[in-house]
Amino acid sequence: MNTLLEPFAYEFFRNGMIASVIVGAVCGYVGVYVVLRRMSYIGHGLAHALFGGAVLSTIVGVNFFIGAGVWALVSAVLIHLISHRRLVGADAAIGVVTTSSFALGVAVVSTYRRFTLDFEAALFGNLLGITPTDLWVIALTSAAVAFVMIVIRHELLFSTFDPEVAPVYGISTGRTELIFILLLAVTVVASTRILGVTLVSAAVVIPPVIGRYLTQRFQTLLLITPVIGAVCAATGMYLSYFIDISSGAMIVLTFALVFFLVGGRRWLRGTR
Amino acid sequence: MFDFAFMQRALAAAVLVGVLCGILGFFVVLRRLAFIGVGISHSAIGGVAIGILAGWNPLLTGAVFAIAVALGIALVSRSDNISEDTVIGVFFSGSMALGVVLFSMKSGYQQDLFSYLFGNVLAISTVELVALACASAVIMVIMLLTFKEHMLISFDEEVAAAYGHKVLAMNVLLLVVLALTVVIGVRLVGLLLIQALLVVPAAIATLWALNFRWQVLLATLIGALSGVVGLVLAYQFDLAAGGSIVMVAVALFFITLLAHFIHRQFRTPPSVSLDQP
Repeated sequence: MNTLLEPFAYEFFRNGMIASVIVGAVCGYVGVYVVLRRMSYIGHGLAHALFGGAVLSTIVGVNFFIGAGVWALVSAVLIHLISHRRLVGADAAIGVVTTSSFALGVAVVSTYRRFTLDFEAALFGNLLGITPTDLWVIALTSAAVAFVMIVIRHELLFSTFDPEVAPVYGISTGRTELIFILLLAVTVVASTRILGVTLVSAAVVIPPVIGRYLTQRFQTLLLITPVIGAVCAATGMYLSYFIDISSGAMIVLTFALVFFLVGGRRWLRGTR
Repeated sequence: MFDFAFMQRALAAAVLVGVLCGILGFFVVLRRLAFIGVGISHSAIGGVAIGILAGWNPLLTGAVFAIAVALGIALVSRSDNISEDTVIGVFFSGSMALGVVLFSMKSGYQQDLFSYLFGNVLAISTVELVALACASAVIMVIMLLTFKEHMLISFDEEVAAAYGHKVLAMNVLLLVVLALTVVIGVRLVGLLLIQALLVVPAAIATLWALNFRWQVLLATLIGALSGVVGLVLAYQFDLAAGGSIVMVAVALFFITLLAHFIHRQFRTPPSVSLDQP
């Protein structure tokens, strides 16, 4: 029994655990709309674009959350604007914006000479580096995201399921989408400390899919997805202490494992 | 700088990968496969990690794994009611995490992992270069032979099927070729950046709005050009080759975009302003 509770004796583990539960829950909540609106690629792109901002803010010496946050919001607006132009295909345009920011990060890191822990943390997350201040920032931004999402839930729901009729009822789909993509950017910034830019999209995409497998009702989906996210994140975090591997990757692997278990059960039963 | 053998090899690889990515990228942009390209390239890291741990050739296992993931994505998004982009998100982040976990089991993994993620031009051996050249040649021949069929399928899958073309087989072929291309580019730009070489040159070619044959040709030229210029800049300024190659391609994209807008301003017929009150 003591061995099982042993990790909780360490402060870094408690901080990491709280942070991963918060991140798992808020990513799941936002992710429901990401999956329904088919914005997985945008979520992934935002996370990658963030790498440029993370690298620059480390080198310039700006606080990560401020530097990367501003960078992510600007990228979100850019992606939003570009994906509505018919110049190049929307997906190609998103690809150009995000890879350019990512490549900038890589080029700058290589001049910096030290491919150090900071950058590895930006890529894959580093739970051990969560300070109490980080924890507060993560908790407050997540609460703010959840609050705004709840306030605009009707607009979101309407514009997600019927973008053509929504404007007739006075809902600006463009504005709702812009607000949502900004919220997604904030969520990604809050989560990169835990999961890193390469793994954060898993926390956004996988829990809603597991939720979809378990329920057909939208309201239930909105309730259970954050729970799935939080429980999986906590499990992954807990396991990573004993197996001694990168906690971000272990969390995502837990997500993937649950996905295959739930999905596989459905396949075996032959239900659709 | 070209006196160094490693630079000669890197240069050959840059031209090779640039041309190959130009051809494949044309189809990626035309058929809106950008995200599936990301999915395939990122998930290859899982296969590379398996190869390293098991002591097999990591590029081979990476290719096999990438092909398996590509087929898995195609299979699941066909048979289940989840949208394709979501399936891609699930698969690639899962295999990415698997890769990171497997790499972290090996001590001193950091350097290794980063060289696959961001490329390592110093690691290109002569044997590998020859293998890559052969693989690229085969891919190019296949793509050129099936060019017309792919074009037809791109525009109308149903009509293509009605004319007796094997749509599913061709789509699978495209995914397999994409997976191979990703692995061919891994030494030069790395798995996280190869996506840019697929999308950016082809997007530039689309902006010039020529006919499709010219688009393919232009995309290959831009791919090779950014490969070579990026490599030279990387050597001069001591940058990571992958990052600097992609930055050159992106710079070309934004120059083209600017030229495109200026061109459009001039092209606007003056009569429009006369119509206004």
